[in-house]
This record gives sequence, structure tokens and C-alpha cells, in this order.
Amino acid sequence: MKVIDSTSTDVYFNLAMEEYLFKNFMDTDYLILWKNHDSIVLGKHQNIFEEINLLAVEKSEIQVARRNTGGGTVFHDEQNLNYSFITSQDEGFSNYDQFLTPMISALNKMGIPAAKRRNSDIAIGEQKISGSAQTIKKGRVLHHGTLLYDSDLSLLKKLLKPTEGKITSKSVKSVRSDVTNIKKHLGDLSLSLDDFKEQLLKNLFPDGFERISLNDADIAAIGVLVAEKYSQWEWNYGLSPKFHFEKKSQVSDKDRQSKKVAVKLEISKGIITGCQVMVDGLANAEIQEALTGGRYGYQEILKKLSSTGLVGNIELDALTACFL
Amino acid sequence: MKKNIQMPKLSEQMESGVLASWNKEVGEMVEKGEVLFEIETEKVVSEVESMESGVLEAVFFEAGDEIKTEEIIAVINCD
Repeated sequence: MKVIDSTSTDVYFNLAMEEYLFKNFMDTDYLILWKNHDSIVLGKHQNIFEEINLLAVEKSEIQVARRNTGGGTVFHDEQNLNYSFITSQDEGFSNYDQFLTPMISALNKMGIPAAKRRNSDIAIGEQKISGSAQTIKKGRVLHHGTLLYDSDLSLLKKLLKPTEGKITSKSVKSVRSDVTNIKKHLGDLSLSLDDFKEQLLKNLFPDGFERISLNDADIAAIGVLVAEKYSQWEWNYGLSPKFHFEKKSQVSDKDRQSKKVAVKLEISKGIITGCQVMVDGLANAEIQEALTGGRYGYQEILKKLSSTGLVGNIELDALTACFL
Repeated sequence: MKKNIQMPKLSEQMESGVLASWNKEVGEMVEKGEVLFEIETEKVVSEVESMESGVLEAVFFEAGDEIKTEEIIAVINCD
């Protein structure tokens, strides 16, 4: 087993590194350990608009990234340790136990009463400490897992609060779980994440392992993947499966009269392809025209609405909220 | 010649799978070995490569559909 301990905490770099190693390092088995600065990480085939609170995320400094493996949305910070096994796989269909069993056994040896839950989680009692997902390609498998060590989980709730609008799609949904941090369950509460990581490695590989680092050419190639894919709107937002959005709102105009705004949107690859806006039962062609063909997002919609006639009468923020 | 593309059976137990994405659009050229579509089941993404070279002529399912193994999901025109 060769082990790479990433020194970067950039979510786009680490996800690009995972893909680069998965597709190019075919000679043996690898384990990558990495952690990210505050970020939201989506499963490969999820609809980002169904998972995150667009307004809260765009107003925050939190990065949003789509990963290469399946499953749901998770929040990462620097107290969450990610691990990725890259190994060979004869069957086209993987099982989780080949990776989860040694991980659980290593945690148990460290005194953590961890056990498998559902198909791909690790939990202490009923509370999840680790989720995992995989990608399979050409006889290789990438198994990616999280280990909640001492994460601040309160931020997540705010950023993942779903829209009040109704979204219809066939995307992969997230399953919300009750979670806990590993550190709380350790005898030694002073153990840092780095110490935990070293202990974990010793317990995972009692016979030893080889520590390697990336060379300059690897880092340059990963940089290209970051620039062309992982940091791009087209990958993070545009890959979302098509969906239908519907929301009925009541807003006050400047004379404090209530107006009914009914919005129906068709969104494909993150672009508004169909737009129906009714204000007090009448179609508003100006808004429909302004939004059709544009990206679906808080800032984008706000900007487009700001030049429409209705804004003189209804506050821009309140009008924008009708579309999110 | 037209070749039917089936939902693959990735394991003995697999009876159906969710088509997660088409990586090619109808009318587009596909080379043998290129990823044609992806399946996601139990948080596992499987990239499925095309066994044929040709034009993707028709697809019968869309992303998000659960499909029985061996069901025909697309046609590639190899002429």
C-alpha cells in the first residue's frame, strides 16, 4: 500500500488529485488522506439546486464542489478526515466491506466503538461518523470515505436548508443522518486530528506501508484538472440533471398591497430553458424573456430582474426570492 | 449496421440499475472505449464504455430511470 498525505486543503485540488491518481496510478494499491477547508461536496449525479440553499451559499465564502463518486451531499471542514482507497477490481460491481471492514477494525483497535451501519456507513451507536461512496472504471475502484473527527456541524444545516419551492427531478437524493464526532468518543480528548491520522495508519497497516508524495509534473497535471474541470461552473452546477421548479409566493408592493407571484421554471444543465411567471394571474413576458437562456442562480437572477419594470414596484430581494 | 445497447449486468445479484447520466447525446459520434453512460447504485458510480464505434442514433431512457438488466437502452449506428 502506498500512502499519499495531501498537504493541500483546497477542495478542488484534492478532488482533482483523487481523479488524477485514480486514472493514472494503476501499478498498485493507494490510500490518499486529505482534508478540505470549509466546503460542500456533492455526489457526482446530484442536482446541486436541490441540495444547497443558493442564497446562503452564494452569500457565504463556502466553496461548492462536485466529486467523482456517487451518493449524497456532505459538509467538509479541516476537522473531517477524508480517505480514498484506489485498488484493482475484477468485478464491475463493488462491495463496501473490503474497505469498511479494515477501517472499522482499525477504529476499534483505537478504542472507538465503531460499527457498520446500512450499506456504506460507519456509526457509533445510531450516529454516523463516516459515509462512503465509490466509482468504478476499467478494473479499478475508487472508494472515498469521510471520518468526522471534530467538525463544526452547525454550519451545514444553514447551507443545506432546502428551498421552499417544489423541485421535481430524477436526481440522486441525499439521505440526512444523525451524526457525531469521533473525538467525543476517544479516551484522550487532547488527541489532534494529525495524531489521530497517524494512529489510524499504524492500525490500518500493522505490517507497514510506503509513504509517497506527488512530483512537480503530477501537481501541474492536477492543476490543469482543477482549472478545466473541478473549479468550473459547468462541472459543479451545470452537470445537474434537468429539473422542474415551482413556487407560489406573496410579496408586498411599495403601496403595501399583496401581490401573488407564481413561478414555473424548467432547468437543464443549470440553464433556465423554460420560464413562466404569473403576477396576480397575468403572465409577465418581460421577466420570462429576461430569465430564459440564463444560468439559474441567486446573483444571476437578481441581476436580470434588476432591469425589469416590476422592480420599481416590488423590492428586488423579495422578487428574487420568488425564484429560489 | 445497427447495434442495440443493453443495460449491463454488473454483478450476479444485479437485477436493475439507475441510469445516472448519458455522456453522449443523440446524433453524436461514439468511439469504442469511450464512456457512453454511467450507472449509479448504492452510491457506486460505474462508468460504462461503448463496445462499438458509430453514431448514437437513439436512446430509450433518460438519466434517473431505473432499468432492468439486459433491457435495450440505446442504438448505435456503426455504418
